[in-house]
Formats: sequence, C-alpha cells, structure tokens
Amino acid sequence: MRKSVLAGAAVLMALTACAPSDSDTAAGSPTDKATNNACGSNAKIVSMPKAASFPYYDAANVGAEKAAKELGGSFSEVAPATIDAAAQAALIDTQARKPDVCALMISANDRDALNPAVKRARAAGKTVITWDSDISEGTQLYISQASNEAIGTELVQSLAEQIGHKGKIAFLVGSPTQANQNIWLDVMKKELAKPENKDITVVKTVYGEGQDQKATQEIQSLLQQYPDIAGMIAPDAANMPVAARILKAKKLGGKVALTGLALPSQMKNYVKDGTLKSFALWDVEKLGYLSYYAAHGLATGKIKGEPGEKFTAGEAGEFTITDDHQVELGPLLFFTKDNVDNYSY
Amino acid sequence: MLYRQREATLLVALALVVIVMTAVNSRFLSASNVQDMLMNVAILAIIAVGQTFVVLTRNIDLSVGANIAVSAFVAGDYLRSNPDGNLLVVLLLSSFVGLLLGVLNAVLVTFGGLPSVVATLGTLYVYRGIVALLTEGTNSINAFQLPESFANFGQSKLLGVSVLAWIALVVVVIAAYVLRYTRPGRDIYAIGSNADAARLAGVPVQRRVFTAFALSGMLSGLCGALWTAQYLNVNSVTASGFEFIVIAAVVVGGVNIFGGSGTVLGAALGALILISIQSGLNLLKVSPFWISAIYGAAILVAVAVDGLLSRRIHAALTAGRRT
Repeated sequence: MRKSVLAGAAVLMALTACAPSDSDTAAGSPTDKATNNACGSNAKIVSMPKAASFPYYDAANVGAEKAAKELGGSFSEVAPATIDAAAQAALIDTQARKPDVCALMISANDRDALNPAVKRARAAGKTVITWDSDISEGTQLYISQASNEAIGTELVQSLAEQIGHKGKIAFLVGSPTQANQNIWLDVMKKELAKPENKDITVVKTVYGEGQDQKATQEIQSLLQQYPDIAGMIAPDAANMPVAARILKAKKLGGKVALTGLALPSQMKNYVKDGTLKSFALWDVEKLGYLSYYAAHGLATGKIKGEPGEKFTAGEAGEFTITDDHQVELGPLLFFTKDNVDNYSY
Repeated sequence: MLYRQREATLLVALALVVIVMTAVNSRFLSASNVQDMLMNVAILAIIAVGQTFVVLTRNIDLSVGANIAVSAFVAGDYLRSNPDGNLLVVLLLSSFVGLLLGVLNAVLVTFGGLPSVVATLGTLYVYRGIVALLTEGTNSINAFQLPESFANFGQSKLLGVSVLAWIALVVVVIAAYVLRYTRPGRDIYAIGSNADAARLAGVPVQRRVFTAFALSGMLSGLCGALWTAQYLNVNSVTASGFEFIVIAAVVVGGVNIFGGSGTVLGAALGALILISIQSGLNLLKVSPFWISAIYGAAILVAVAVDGLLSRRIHAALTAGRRT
C-alpha cells in the first residue's frame, strides 16, 4: 500500500516538469557518438529512473524487462534513493566507467544538471537516451510519453463524447505558468473549435495551484456558478482527485462528466463507484518497453537515430524519429472501472 | 460592553459582503453554497482562534500552516496503517503532535527569548522540512489509502451543516468563555496591553505566553486531522501559505495585531468574512488573475469599515460617559 503512494508525486512531476517537450531536444547527431565497444544483441542496458521504488517506474521496468527478453539483451535498474539530480549525475558517471554497460536510459531529475555527466558517458562510448523526462542536451533520443496533440485531442474527444458534444465545460489546470499544460490547453481549444464541438462552450479555466484547499474552493464555486455545467477536463494530476472528491460529495457523479490525467491509483475508487467514467495517462509499461527497444537499437547500431528514421519496437509497432530526435509513444491509455485494477502505479 | 459592539460592527461588515455578493450573484446565498462556505471556514476559524490567543499577547505564530501539514500527515499515516482506527484516537493523536510543535514554539519564545516572528518563521521552515521528509518523493497520502468511514466523517453534516463547522463552533465557544471569564484569559489581555504592568500585578507572563503558543499548536494539530478528513490528501505543500489567511482573518476580525484587544468570536467572524469574499469573487465572472488583487482590496475595505465603525462607537460611548 505504502509503496503505491509513491506514484502520486511521480506523476505530478511527470505532468509538470517532464511532459512531452515541444522544445529543443538537442540530441547530438549520431555521428558524434564515440565508437561503441561492440555491443551485440546481448547488450547490457541500464535504466535510471528519477528514484528507486516508484510504482510508476516499476511498471516501466516490467515493460523494459519484457523487451530485453525479446531482444536477448540484459536489463537492470540503477536509481538514486530519492529524487536528486546530483545523486543521479554521480550514478551516471559510475555506470559510464563500467566496461560492460552498453547503454543508459534516463528519466532525468533535472533538465540541465545531468548534461555534463551525460556528455562524459557519451565520450566513454555509452549510448544514452532519455525517456519520461528529458534533458536539455546530449541525449541521442528522447522517448516521450505521449504527444501534446494526443493529450489535448483525446481528452477533449473523451469528454465531448460523454456529454454528447454539447454543454458548458471548464478546464481545471495547475497554474498559469505550467508550460506543458498551457500547450495542452491550446491543443484542446483547437479541438473544441472543430464543427462537431460547436455546441460546447468553455466557461472557465480554474487554477488549483496544486493546493487542495484552493482547488477545492475554486471547483466548488465553479459548480455553484454553473449549476448546468456538463463537464470538466483536468490535465493536472493534482486537480483530478479534488474534482472527483467534490463530485462525489455533491452526488454529481455521472451528472457532471470529469476526465483528465491522473495515476490509476489516485482515481481507482472514483471510477469504480461511478463518480467518473474514465481518465487517462500514458501506458507506462509500454513506455519502458519502447525505451528499451530504442536504447538497444542505438547501442547495437540497428537504429541510427536520424530524423525521419523508422524502427519497429516489437509488438508496440512502428515508430518514427521526429526532427527534434524524439519518439512519441502515441495515444493515451484510458482507464475505466474495468481495467483500472490491472495497473499498479 | 464594548466587546459586544466590536462584534456588531463585524456583523455589519459581514452583512455588507453578503448583500453585495448576493446582489451580484443570487447563487451566493443558495443552500449548497452556504454549506460549502461553512465547511471551508471551519479549519480557518479554529486556527484563527488559536492565533488570537497568541496575537493578544503581542506575539504571532507563523508556523500554523506547517503544523497543520505535519499533523495532517500523522493522522493520515495512522489511518492508512490502521483503517479501523478510532476517530477520537486520530483527533487526539494529531492534536498531540500539534501540541508538541506548539510547545517548541513556546519554549523558543519564552525560555529562548526569541521574538515570536523570528522563532515561528524558523519553525515554519523546520516543520515544512519535516513534511517534505515525511512525504519524501512519494510518500504523500492519497484518498484511496484512507478508510471510507474517515472520508464520510469529513463530508458529514449535522442539521445540514458540516460537522467540521460544528467542531469549530464548539472551539470558538469554549475559547470565548476562557478568554472572557477566566483568570488566565483576562491575564492574556493584560499581557498584551502592557506586559510589564501585568508582571508587576502578579500575572505569570511567561506561563501565559507559553500556554498561548501551546494552544495555537494544539488547535493546528486538531485541524491537521480535520484537514485530512476534508481534503483526503496530504503532500509536501499541504496548507502552505495558510498562515497568511489566518492572520488576515484575525486582523479582519478586529484583533489588534499589537495585542491586548480583540475576541475569538471576532476572529471567527473575520474568517467567515474572508471565506465569503473569496466565495463571492469566485462566483463572479472575474479573471482569476484579478481575484487576488480584489481579495486584498476587499480585506482592506473590511478592516477600514470595521475600524471606522468601532471608533464611532467608542467615541459615542465615551461621550455618553462624560455627560
């Protein structure tokens, strides 16, 4: 039980700091990679998540281990005890000195602080990719959870369907300064501007500021102000449980639709009791699976890492490397009362 | 007699807020909005009561928000490992944790001789650090870990009013009685009016100040459990910045920030005024970017109206005495 709590903070971070970045993943060009000490298909690949024993990362490990088995490679996890960029940088250096390690796949605790360590690891001939949370330079590929497009459009489509494409809706977001959420809001507005959604009006954008007390008052007021509100979208894992708690207390579950991004553990009771129908996140297990395939491919030379290049990641299918050296996992994973228990994070 | 008049002016201020907000949006006085407000005012009012004791002695307790967070975590952590835990035990446990934190403040201020602003600013950060360590990374408390019965308690109503608000009412009534009619209560006013004179008159100044901080801590601790019950979530930012709302409530409630005058009933009304303003503003179609500025201005207006009215009453009373 206690272990699963870890997830809350993990996804909050994922949703605030390290969500799919539209910015410069200044991946080094594949040619500047030092000659790798012949990594065959039995390549040893080390995953380095933000911290040890997060259920969120445990789920990613399951996917990565599966990929390792399929490819005949080896997989292990090395992680700092707590979310600490300095500790993570030191671990990168340690792994870079190990001759048998072929590649590192890193979920970064800081966008900039790991750059020097990653540079040293690359100079030592290691393949380095980032996943889940990117760094600003030095990574060869960044495997992102889901594209901004997917997050924005799929959340809107899910809610629009639930409310029959008409009615008043509101956005429940973190704070006005969260870059990734602002990008998602723009995508959502674009999706709402489509003809089939012409009868949906956005009446308010509520800022929860990550504070339960503020979010509670704001969402309560929203429901007072618009008693006929049809739905709410919360692309913010802090607002989701607050909104669900209020809907449940006011017995509005099923009357006011709610969707958004949250961890299955945070929301499973609420989908089970019918307070909301579904919510979403990316498929964390698949994220680990794809990341391992990408790291393994780069280390063994099967993948060059060039923009536009396509590669197949086992049963996850074909992926294309974008111009900014990213690989996007793809559509969101929606959780309902029927599947929510299958996820441990 | 004067103290009653002070509350009368606050009631006028509250009535003004209610009238204005209702005129702008009639939903302000709807049953469900009033229920929401009474629920939201409960914790604020209880903490404001504790703060009033401290402020009356010409001190301040800035650590209340951090204290709530530590106590809320302890309450939540106890419940997630003991889902059948008794509610009373939870309330006592978190009150006790809060009391310990309050006693540390009291020791620093009375025995350590530190100015309370400095001492409690320091403990604010220490307690926040404790919360960060307790919720480390990831160990924060989520709704799904808390027993259903506890969640139901947080949402339960008695005669249509949140049980949290009833608890707040009990706290206010007891505190009002203590301050008004007991020796230690009167001592607190004496200390705030003139500590040296109080000491010469035989008031145990240190002991009373100690008690005020301990009480503020204990009430913060009690609110920790209530916080967990109401919000079903405790993380590293729980109740951060809450101390400012509390101080605003106390000041709006007519408690002299330099000690010596004011009542807990006033502070509770101040809390109600603040929550009403906030709810009213949220109901207006005002950009959230403007709300905090308007909120601040509304606090200043409320304090000004109250100050003006109370001066008039004071003048009228003293004039009446002379003739």
